[in-house]
Amino acid sequence: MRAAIGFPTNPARPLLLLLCGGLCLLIILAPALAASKGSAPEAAFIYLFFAPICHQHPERSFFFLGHTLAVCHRCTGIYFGLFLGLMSPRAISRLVSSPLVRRVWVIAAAAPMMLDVVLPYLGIWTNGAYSRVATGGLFGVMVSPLLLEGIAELFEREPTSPSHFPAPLSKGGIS
Amino acid sequence: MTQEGMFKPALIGGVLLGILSAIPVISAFNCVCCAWVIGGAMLAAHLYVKGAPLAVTLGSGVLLGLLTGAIGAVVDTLFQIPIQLALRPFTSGFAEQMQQVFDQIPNLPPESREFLRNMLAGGQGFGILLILLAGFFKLIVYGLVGMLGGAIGVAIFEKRKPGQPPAATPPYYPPPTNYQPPPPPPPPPPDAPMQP
Repeated sequence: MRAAIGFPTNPARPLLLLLCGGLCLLIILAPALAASKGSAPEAAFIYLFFAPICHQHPERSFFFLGHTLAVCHRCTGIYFGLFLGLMSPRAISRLVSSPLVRRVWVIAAAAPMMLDVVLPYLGIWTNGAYSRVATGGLFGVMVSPLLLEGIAELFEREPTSPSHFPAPLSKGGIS
Repeated sequence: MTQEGMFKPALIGGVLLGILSAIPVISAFNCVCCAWVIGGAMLAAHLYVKGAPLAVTLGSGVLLGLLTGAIGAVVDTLFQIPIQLALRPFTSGFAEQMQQVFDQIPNLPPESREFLRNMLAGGQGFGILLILLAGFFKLIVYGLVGMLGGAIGVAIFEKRKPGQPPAATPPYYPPPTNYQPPPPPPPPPPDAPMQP
């Protein structure tokens, strides 16, 4: 019987909470280190860590202790949304067990964020800090059950069990 | 498709995301919600789902995304080095070029900027070290974001229910190897009367 997520037998939830919590902590720690004298190298490395995946523009980032967070508004929403979503009850993870529901769920999670990114370029909508954080946070909260289910499944796989899928069928008949 | 069969889709997705993340200007698209990393992992998931005879699970998607992100980070770092060397004749020097990279991180505090500038002043060796350090960071970040992309890719592209058996295929009977078609009937003689 599949072990419930969150019980000590399946470390998926605590592991992901630790990982996501660590990332959220780094995001806040960067400006705190930048503000404290003598911690510039550590702050530099944290900003460099997030640089490949975030533009880090000051006008699109929150400020803390006089310095910007390590990521922009939207990314802040995504990371903190992931963290909050990982604390959701198991029932929500069960909602996304069906392939059709899963597909609709992902589209519903991504659509507001995509619209918030694209519509300003078309001149239809002007996004702001709150819309970026809100749409990013919604995306993070909604995709967290998928990540949690996926990681939980990896821990439930026995290392000695045979692979889940048979060898592919050869062309021209059953081999 | 076995777990070993994940490697080919991950390689395709990872190489594509790595190359796109390394090319200047185009790589900036990664700043839009890690578009290339998520896109590469989703492409790998699509290829994997297409070739799998049974429904692919989210766990497989997560593993595939992690592998794709890791391959992408390695490819990105490997491509960065020659690209930086190729662009060097058009810039004042490697250290100045890295300085321009740091200037593009707008919210870098002045003390951090000064620290990195002093580090670069140590010579080209430190610049290469910085690219490798950034590559190590990318390995972690691309791997984590790739996991998310893999899960999203499986959620979107997998339409079969878990445990659903593959569609039954009719048995195939190849023709016998020594099959000889019957000879054609002889033509009727020309003077023979027509049969009613």
